[in-house]
Amino acid sequence: MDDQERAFPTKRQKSLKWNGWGYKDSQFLLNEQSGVIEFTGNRYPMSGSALPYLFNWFQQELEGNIDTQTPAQPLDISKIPPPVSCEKFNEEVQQWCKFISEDPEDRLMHGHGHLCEEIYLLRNNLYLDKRIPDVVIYPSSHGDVEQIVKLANKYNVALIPMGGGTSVSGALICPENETRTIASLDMTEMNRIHWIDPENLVAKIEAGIIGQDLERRLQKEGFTTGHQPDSLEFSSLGGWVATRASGMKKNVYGNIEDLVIGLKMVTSMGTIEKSCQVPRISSGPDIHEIILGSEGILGVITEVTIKVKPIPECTKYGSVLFACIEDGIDFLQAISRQGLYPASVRLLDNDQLRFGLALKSGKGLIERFSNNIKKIYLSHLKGFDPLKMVLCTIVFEGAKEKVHMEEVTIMKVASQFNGISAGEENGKTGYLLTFSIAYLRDFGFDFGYLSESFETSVPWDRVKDLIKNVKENLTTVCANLGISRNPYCAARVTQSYDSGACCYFYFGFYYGDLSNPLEAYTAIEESSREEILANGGSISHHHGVGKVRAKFLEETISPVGKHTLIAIKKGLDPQNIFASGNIIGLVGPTSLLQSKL
Amino acid sequence: VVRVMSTLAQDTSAPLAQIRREAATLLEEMGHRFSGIVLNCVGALVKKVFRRIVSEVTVHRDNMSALKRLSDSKKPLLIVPSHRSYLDFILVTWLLHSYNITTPIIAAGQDFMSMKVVGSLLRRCGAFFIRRSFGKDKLYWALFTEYTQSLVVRGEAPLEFFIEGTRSRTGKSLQPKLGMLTVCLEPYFDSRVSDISICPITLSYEKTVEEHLHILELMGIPKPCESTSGLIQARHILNNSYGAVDVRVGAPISVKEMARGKVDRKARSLTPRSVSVPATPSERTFVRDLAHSIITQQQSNSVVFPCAVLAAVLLQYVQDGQWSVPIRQVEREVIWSCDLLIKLGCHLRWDTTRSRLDHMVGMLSPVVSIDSGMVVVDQSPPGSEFLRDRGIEAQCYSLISLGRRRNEVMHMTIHAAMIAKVMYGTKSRDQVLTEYSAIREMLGQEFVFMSHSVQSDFNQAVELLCNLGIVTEVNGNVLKFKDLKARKFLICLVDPFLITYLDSWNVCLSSLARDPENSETLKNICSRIQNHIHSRSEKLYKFGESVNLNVIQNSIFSLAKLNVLHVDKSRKQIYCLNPDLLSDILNSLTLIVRPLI
Repeated sequence: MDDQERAFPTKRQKSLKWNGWGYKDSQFLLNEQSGVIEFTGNRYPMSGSALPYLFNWFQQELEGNIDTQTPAQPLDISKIPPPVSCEKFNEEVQQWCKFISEDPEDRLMHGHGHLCEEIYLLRNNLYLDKRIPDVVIYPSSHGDVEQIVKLANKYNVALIPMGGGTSVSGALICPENETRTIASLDMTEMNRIHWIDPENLVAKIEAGIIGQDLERRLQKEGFTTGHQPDSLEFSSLGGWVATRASGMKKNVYGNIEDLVIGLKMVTSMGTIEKSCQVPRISSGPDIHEIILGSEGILGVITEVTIKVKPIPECTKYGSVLFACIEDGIDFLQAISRQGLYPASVRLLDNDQLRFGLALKSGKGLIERFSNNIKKIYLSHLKGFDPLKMVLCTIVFEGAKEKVHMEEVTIMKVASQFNGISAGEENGKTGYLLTFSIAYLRDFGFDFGYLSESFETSVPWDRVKDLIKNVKENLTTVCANLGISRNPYCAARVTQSYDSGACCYFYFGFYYGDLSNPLEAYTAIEESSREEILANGGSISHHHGVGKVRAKFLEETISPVGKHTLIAIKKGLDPQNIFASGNIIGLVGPTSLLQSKL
Repeated sequence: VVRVMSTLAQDTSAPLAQIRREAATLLEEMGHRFSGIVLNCVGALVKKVFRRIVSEVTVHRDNMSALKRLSDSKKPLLIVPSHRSYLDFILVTWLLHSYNITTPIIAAGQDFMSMKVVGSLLRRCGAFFIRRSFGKDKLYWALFTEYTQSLVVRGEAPLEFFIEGTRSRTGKSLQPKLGMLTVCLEPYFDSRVSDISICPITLSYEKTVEEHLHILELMGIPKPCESTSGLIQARHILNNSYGAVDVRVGAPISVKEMARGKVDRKARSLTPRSVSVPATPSERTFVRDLAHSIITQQQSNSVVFPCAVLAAVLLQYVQDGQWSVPIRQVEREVIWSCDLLIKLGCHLRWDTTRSRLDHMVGMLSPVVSIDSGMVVVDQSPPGSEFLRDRGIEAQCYSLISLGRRRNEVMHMTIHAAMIAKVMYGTKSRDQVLTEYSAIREMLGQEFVFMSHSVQSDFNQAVELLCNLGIVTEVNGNVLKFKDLKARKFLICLVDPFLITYLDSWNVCLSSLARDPENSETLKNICSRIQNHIHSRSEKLYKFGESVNLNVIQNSIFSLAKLNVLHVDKSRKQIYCLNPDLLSDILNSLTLIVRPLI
């Protein structure tokens, strides 16, 4: 299966942006003459179309201004500092692994993820002062990785594994003080599907495979993992495991921890794995739980045995409008109480909904006309306030009959909360737009806006307050920081569980009046996380801890909890070869010494 | 509430329906019925009344726009005015109304409710009524908490209450009552809201409408019940002039900012919302400190009128047995004192009207008058004739009346005054601090001190006195008073309190400490102390102010705080816990007071 079509080539910068999200050919552009924003390229449903309402929205809601543009700086490759090479290590690695590169562009591409902070630095050529990997190695098999890790231990070289590089936790940032050679392990060459087992419905796959490639190839064989994180296009299977990813359709398929049957991870002490592929095991604390969410600090995940399912017979979309967010959340809670879990249920708050409406391409008169009728019906007959109403989008998946039954029951519950069906189309566009919306942040950057998303999980009885408080707190913090224009903050409830939900926030603010935008960004991010924790929310639902949330770890899992993680780290990696410093900070040989004293 | 009702039903084996009815009646009794029209009508009437009795109301606009912004944002806002007069809440409502700020919902004592017509008028102006004490009534407590917190959380209108709990009869701030504040802050502690803003307001009166009644109360003659007929009888106040009122809106306090690092809101997130949690120790400490800083802010915004300075000056003469003083001398002394007070940080209201001696004297009438070139303190002022029938010397009326006014300058001078009191001869800085702390502890119920700021208050006051050249620091560590006139002025401010305490504690020693079994009611012991003071009538000019019941009570509570006495609240009995400690404390107080007697 080697000659397959791939999401991006080995030299990913050939088709991916070096300083922004996604493919080079796709981006939001403002046509300054017409004042209309267009989405370029031909990869997405939105590609090639003009978005007549978007710029208007940008001006009204965010006080965006065409005159304050902050275009990205071109890359000055000559300024990238030379690598700290370890010749012998490189030589010996090359005996096992043909692809190895010290090319500055490759090194830069492997030195960052997609945190707002990282992109800001890249765009402004400020990343050139940062520590980046000295060498990029592209292993092509589990055996390669075992050898590389051995050699790294032999020559005391730091390793940072990398999949799709879509991290939003700072996990790929190299520790500034690392004096050893840092090698980035680009896992994307390890993209083979070893086998699919239709009997037990599992598949053994190399960890470097990119989500969209995995799905495309499985679907050719009639299967799917059903795991659909929003980063699916670029993130890798190993990355999902390493960050405890969550997929949009987890209600039917489960989150990554539910999907995994077998794992292989190469550590400094050797490979850790189970000798059987069983649905459940009682073998003491589960070693998978050490690998899941390890964020590259314990070893490299090389192979994953994952559950697959036949492609569902029927997928159907739906959407329901509610008068206010409280009604919407009550509805979500009600259906989860009744055990009604369609593949996906998401609630967009009013800010998010208005943004969604602004993304409509509005092709013809007819559509606008019908929209107007709907508006009149909603606001006058049902008394819905357009500045308060929220939209719930739903995906049903499975056998036709089951889907039909589910739809009927859910609509019945929705009507108890005064919800009105808003049609299949509204639901569908919500999900289809997901991938292209990720490109908007770069558009914001062009006009002086920093934007980011953050998420959390929270018990049901605190969902409403958490959303309200986090948004309020964000507005206050922005005002206190002296940000003149309205900040933007929208919330979604993206996952429902029996005992709580996952809340997802987008925020953006104008940084034109700030002397240090990144300081402001950090202040906002940390204040938001503090507010979340105070409201009973978690440190993260699926983005992970990385470096940006590491300071909140100890209060989340208790000092003893953190001590446990440190003990595992020291036991598995005494030389701190996996030196990214994620989750628990830097635990090097020095601190090992200290603890012995 | 539901939980409380059902436990009550179980405990008392009364049917739930009955308890529900009870709850409904209580809510009916509590609730406000705000109506804009009534507010406007009452507003017009109030304006008329004010025109007649008050010469001017000065409003400082400093923080008005901040207050307006807060109220417009519909976020939780508490308005906490100082309480000296019934006019306070009328003035605040009227003031906010005229600045186009949402008028507050006001927590009022239930005494007003029984007033015919007026009670319901107040309800419609946004007042809700709470019982003065309901410590054990669980149902009432639950309803009150729920009602109040829902007002805070919804934030549709600011919530106004008086942190002193009742009008201060003595002109100085009362110890803050923490119950209402704790209830209001709970939504912040359990993250139902992301922040609560508190806006302290200070109302300074040149003369309060209730002066006469309050003096009588301080002498032990109970206040008449609030009733409409009483109000109509009191219309004679319309014929008097009460001078000027000064209103200052303090800088809004953000509870979140104040609580940073002091209250961990996360702690509450482990308990579900439906389970009520008692305030944690750190929350209680925080509420107490916050209450103190609210009072401190109110005090620092209070305005001293020259007539209060005149009262202080005259009292000094009276303490030396001089009841009348030549005009020239008085004028000189007032100006000198005003100058000192300004230097010590008082906001003095000095304008052409108020700086005229005849105006000041008018404001102190009927106790003070001008007679043939002398300013005379009346030894039997009109209206005090009937006192003699009750065995009270009329002189006391004058002394207490002047004492109340003098107290208005105490807030900004108390630390300097205490230092002046303990600093005779040459003492080392540390010795002064020790004695200052001792006296401060004794007066802990009399004045509002922050428990943790002994050192900083002391240092600040000493530094100020040094800068003003009143105190010098010799040899780096020894403090010495340079300005003996200032010292005498300061000592005269604090002496009356210490003298009262001395008398009061002597009586406690003789009546309670002799026999540990012996107990007395608070009322009895207070009147016993009053009688004792009266029995020294030969020097009444010196001790007359000591019949002030409020100070006597404080002296008892101070002993309770020092663990000398035990006040059994349920049986209203006072026991002596530690006779030896009492005589020790008494000895040290005697040592402090002696130099002047």
